Amino acid sequence: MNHIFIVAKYTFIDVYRSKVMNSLFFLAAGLVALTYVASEFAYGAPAKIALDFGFGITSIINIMLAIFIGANILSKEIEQKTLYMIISRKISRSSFLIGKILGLSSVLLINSITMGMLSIFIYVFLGGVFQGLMIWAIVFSLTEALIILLFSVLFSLVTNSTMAIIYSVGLFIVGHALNETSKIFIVKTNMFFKYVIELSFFLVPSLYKLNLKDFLLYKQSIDLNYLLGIQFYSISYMCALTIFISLIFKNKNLD
Amino acid sequence: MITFNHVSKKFKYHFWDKEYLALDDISFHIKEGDLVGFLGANGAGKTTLIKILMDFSRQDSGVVNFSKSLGHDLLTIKAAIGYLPERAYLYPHLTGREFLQFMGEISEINKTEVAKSIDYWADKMQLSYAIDRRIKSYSKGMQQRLGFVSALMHSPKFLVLDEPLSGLDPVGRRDFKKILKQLNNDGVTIFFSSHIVSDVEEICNKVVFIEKGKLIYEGSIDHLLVEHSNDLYLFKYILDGKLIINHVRENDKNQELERLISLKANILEVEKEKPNLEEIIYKIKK
Repeated sequence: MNHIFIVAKYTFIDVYRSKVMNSLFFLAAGLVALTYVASEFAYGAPAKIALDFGFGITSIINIMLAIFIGANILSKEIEQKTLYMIISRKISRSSFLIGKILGLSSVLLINSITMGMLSIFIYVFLGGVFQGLMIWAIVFSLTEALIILLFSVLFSLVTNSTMAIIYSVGLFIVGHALNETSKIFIVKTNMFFKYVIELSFFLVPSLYKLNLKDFLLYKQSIDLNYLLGIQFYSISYMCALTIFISLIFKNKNLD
Repeated sequence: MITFNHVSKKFKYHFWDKEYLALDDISFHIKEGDLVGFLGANGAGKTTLIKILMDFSRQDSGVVNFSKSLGHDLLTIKAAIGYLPERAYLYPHLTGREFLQFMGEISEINKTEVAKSIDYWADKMQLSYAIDRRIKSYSKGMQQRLGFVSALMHSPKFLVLDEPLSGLDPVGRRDFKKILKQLNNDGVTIFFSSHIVSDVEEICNKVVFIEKGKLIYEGSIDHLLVEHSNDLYLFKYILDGKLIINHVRENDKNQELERLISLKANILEVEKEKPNLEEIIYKIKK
């Protein structure tokens, strides 16, 4: 366990000083500008549009970062050969990989907090009222990004970086479209499609459940137990995925 | 200490590609206290074999056995090994000191020991002036030195170095070789790959030579030199104002000497001809 935190700590220091953090600053500035412009075009409900836009951009940037970080996490280490130096020490491959993922997740955490808080700030500035659900929305956006990050790492273990990016984007789309697809008439009536959808519900993460924007925009209330249930599902999913990734990495030939 | 037993490895980059044999039934032994030079041309299979030794990659057949003096399980064995890959590019945004602290922490060395070790090795590798600078400002040679320090700071019993001298300037090469020799004298077993024969000849007591994945020679350098030496003597002398270079068989050398003395020749040099390791390697390859 200690090794995981050591790898995470130094990965965080390395990333914190890298250009990724500078880009986050520019992205935040861009978010403020774009949200302001978008709210100017919204007659009557600028705050709502600002929130919709702000959380939307936060989520997209989080997903993009997760996919690119995840797809390159190992290829970069192998190319630079730092992976070999570290796993030649008294550290298991799993500890290295989990530590690395944990360290790089800090980028997603910082992005979620910065962009999410900025979106809330603009919303309140434009006359909106703060709701506790907004914090949940930020937490869910981060959770969604972490799930995609893990999938991206998984894909990078079995294929190359480019394909890992493509598969991760595909998974993101399927994870969001699954619920709506299951309601289509042909899917409901055709046995084959029905089984495929049932299997997909079991395997693919239900990312659509992590989208709280509609609840926020239309001020719908959500039971706390429902939110905790989704978070529990997500954490369990991530744990299972992490174990699966660790097993693959443990047996992977690092040629 | 380490025994390779019939290790073979095949590669196939795409499923439609034909497999090729990167390592073909390699068997050899590294004794405790050896300083082994691992020779082979580019693409001979040196790095592949080192990756198998370090458990990064798995062989298709054969085994690598570690002696119990290194440890009983994989993690303990790893703790007794120092490894440096060829031309590693270390984390650019960490300082040299932070990188070494990182390596020290995962090697479970206490902080005081790490600090001492960093100061000692940084000084020895002439990196003290740059140790608190970010690695991105380091040259290739400096990164190589830093990587070397990281391989040594946990006082390993066995050092595995993949082309440690590549990318170094002549002074750096000399320093590296001096330190390798000193470490070996202190009891560290060293296995290092190189494609430069003279480096191996200079410091190693044993050589392992592979070519296209096949083991060509394994044994002491002295034995190889004796085995491939001829019985010729080189005579260099001036006779009647002319410089003459002559090769004479060992049995005839005394006679030749007497002849030259009687002719009052100016004998400049009489030396037994010794081929160097490089010449022998070329000879074996043919």
